[in-house]
Amino acid sequence: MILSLRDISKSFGEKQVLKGISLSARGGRALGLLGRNGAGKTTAIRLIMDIFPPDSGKVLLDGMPPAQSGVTIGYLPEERGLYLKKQVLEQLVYFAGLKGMPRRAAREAAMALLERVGLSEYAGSKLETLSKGNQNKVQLVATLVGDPQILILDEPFSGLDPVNAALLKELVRECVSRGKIVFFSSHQMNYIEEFCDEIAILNGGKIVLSGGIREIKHHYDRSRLVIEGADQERLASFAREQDGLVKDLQRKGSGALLKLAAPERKNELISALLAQGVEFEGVRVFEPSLSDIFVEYTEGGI
Amino acid sequence: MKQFWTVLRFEFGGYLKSKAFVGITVAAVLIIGVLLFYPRLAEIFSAGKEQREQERGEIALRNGSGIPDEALLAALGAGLTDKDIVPVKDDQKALRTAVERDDYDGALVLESPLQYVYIVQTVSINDATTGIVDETLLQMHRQSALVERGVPPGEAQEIINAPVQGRVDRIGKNQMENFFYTYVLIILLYMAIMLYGQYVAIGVASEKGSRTMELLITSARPISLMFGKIIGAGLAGLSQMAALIGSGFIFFNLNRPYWQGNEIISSLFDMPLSIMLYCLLFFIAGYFIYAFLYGALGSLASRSEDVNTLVTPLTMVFMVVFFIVIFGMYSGKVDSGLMLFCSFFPLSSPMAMFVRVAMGEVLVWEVVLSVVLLIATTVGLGILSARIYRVGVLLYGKPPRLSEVFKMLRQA
Repeated sequence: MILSLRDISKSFGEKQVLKGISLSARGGRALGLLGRNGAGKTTAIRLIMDIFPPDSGKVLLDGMPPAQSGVTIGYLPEERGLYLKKQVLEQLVYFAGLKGMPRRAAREAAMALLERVGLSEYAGSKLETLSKGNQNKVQLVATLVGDPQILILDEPFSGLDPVNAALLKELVRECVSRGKIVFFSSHQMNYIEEFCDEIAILNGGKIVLSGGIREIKHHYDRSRLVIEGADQERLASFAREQDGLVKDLQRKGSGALLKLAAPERKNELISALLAQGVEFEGVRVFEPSLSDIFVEYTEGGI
Repeated sequence: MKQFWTVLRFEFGGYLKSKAFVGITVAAVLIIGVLLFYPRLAEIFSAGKEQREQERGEIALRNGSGIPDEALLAALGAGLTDKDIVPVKDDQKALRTAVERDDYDGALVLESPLQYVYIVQTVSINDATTGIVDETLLQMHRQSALVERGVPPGEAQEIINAPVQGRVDRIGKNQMENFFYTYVLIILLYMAIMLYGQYVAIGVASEKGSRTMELLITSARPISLMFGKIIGAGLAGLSQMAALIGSGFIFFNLNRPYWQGNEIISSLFDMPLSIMLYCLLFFIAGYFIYAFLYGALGSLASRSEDVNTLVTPLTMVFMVVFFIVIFGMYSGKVDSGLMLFCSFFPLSSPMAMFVRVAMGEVLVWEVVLSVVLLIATTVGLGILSARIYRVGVLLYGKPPRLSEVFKMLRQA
């Protein structure tokens, strides 16, 4: 199952929100959709869900419009909201019913999911009587009930304590391993790094970077090395001596980050370190964190 | 279509499960029950109080008219059947203090055959004494005047009491008879359309306010959501009206003998079936046209608090229509030019045409034309409302102006 957006543009009034974006998500691989506030993430999500049509371009699921394939989407909106005055189970059955599930099956599925998140005792309570964290869990159940083939999770971890976050991770992992398409939108980069195999960074209505996280990191500037366990003073004098080879040196955590004049001169550096008798515990190529990459690609403004 | 039924079932079920809805319906049925059982209950209670009923009022009579006491006492006694008349010689001032002291319930001071003073502490709303005394004195005056002019007393009696036989040959409708039931039905129509229309608006806005809409709009088509909600509320309104009217009929028929004397109440429950069916037709058509507009306006509000400002213009239109119709009914001119216009204009025709059908002279083609216009407009407004709803539900912030809404519709 492949969901792809092809050259999609969308304007609201004078404002062009999306300027020709293309991306594709495959079943069994989670896609992290990143972008600063106002970058067009919600618009992209709503286009995928066919709430409004794009001005130009196409959304295709396995080559045809998603509406025709009868696929169901589970959506966890960033702005959480359910019927506060209605019973938990009642509204879960309703939302599953809207996605086409028969009542009895919806009831069973909702109860099973409530059991899973430890809320089965609240099935008959009004939602407003539940704690905020439990309301969040009910919202998650509302997303998953009806067994949708596509999951769109917008800031799923906000408002969850570590135990509930672990539970959510488990549930999402399960969905990914069952071959569902999972879109993940978050500002918490550590979660994206943990879950997503692929990312797409939206900035200014365009996709500025997309692909597998590992590949992106791998293709990053390979000329920066991290040297662990070396004396900072000693390294500093070493860098001064080798100014043809070392362009920059800064402290990084317990080690040091240095930039080589060229990425292929790693062995040369190691030989120089050994020759100069600089003691160190390890040398590795510096891979930026997702957070570093995100900042780099979106810093220039939306 | 399946989604529509799911929404309809959820919305309608929501009303039936709501404590407020059930409570109000039950309370209204109870009130109707108490009202319609009242004569029967009153009789049961008064059976134990027969002794008190025998306690008759006492009225003092000072006869200064020159009419013989016996004749006057007999004539007044025949009229004031629930009072004992006590002839006295005290003057007006003394009688005044006596009435004030509660020695008598009242006092009559006759100064001449056609002049009297009725002394009483408070005139109760059903005190018919003065009317009876007026009538008695007038009759005695006519009798004596005729006799004085040489008419034999028996003939004089006949002249005065000559019976009149009249008969109404009615070609059109009797507005007196149908006024009351039309009035009751119009008020029901007005309340039901307004109440349930506003429920739709508030329902939509609160789904937006609580952000439930985010999930709804992504799970279901806007058209299913809007129609399910509107028809769900409409069904709730219909079942509430059916409960009220049905229980009214049942309670009335249980107590029919007790209401024999009350023409107003009897006319209400003896209304023709056709009028009931017309009421149903105009409720359904009128409800939809307003509910669509209320739904569209509700979708423009960001929170349920904003709803009032948005729906006020529509509510005002509806109120103006209501008053035009009510004034038309009171003036009896239900077929006037204004009413004629209102009975074809879709926003007012549900009420105006209903009143004309019930109380005026309407040709069949007029009703058909009015209903066709109404349905066509309802369909048109339904499509427009669904489009506004589609755009409106995702719109947050300050409610947009109407011109902005149309601009968005053109772009969407």
